[in-house]
Amino acid sequence: MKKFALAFVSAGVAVSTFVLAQPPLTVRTPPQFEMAPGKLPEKPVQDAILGLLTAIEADDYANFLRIGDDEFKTDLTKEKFTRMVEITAARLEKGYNVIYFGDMKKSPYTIYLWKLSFKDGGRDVLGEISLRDDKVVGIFIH
Amino acid sequence: MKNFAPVFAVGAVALCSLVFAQPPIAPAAKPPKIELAATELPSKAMQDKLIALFEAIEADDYANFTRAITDEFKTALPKKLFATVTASIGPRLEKGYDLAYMGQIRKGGFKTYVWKIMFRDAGDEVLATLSIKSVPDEDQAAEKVAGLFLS
Repeated sequence: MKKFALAFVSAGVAVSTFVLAQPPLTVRTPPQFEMAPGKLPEKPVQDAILGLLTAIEADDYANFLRIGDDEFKTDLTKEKFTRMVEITAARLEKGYNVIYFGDMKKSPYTIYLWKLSFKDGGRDVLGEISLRDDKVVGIFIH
Repeated sequence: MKNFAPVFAVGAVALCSLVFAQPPIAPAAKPPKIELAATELPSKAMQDKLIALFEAIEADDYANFTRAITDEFKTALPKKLFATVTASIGPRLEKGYDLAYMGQIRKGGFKTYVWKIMFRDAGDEVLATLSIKSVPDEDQAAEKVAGLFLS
């Protein structure tokens, strides 16, 4: 949560003039609502999402790692992968759709969000992946 | 994950015929495809609900924040925890923000709406998932906020 830490700005006052500076009045425009997104992500992103899901469904750790970069390979241990398989593989096997929700800026990466909608009619799953040079650097399942 | 436990059907076999029933061959699942999400914004009431929550966070106003949330959410979010949220995100909201609606997900008895907060300070964006639950309120059901997850 350090990212959102308050920044305090101290204002200098010219003592000789005895005039106290007033902060400028800001009129903030209300939040605007928009739809996201208007188009599907680039092909490498689509391939990465489907590749990861196919590897989870097939319980294929080697293929799962192949899609990721070195950092991903270190972080995604076999135990973590097995946990993903236990939770989702059986549901994936019955069929699913991937609905692309758009991207999000999280410096230095762009995060791609998508929903897994299972054909078993049960709960949806929200997923995130981030890529660098067409390799997955992170995956997060909500 | 008990909800999704496989259900095994037991088939009866007529012994006298000595014919063993073969399980039907399940059609191969169609390959997954990627689709685009929602094509329209949620209702004005839902938009207002979200804005009201953000205004309460911005103003560090716990009383207003908890006015439209479920008892369970209120228990899970004591004032101290709320203060942590307001300290981290309140100043950024105060500088201005816009919202992009990303779509809806099905989560048990909740309607969960996924939003992206785009701050006007041009910094990192934040994902906001808002879960709504219908709860009995006197004679009619009211839609209350059952969760707001910021990540």
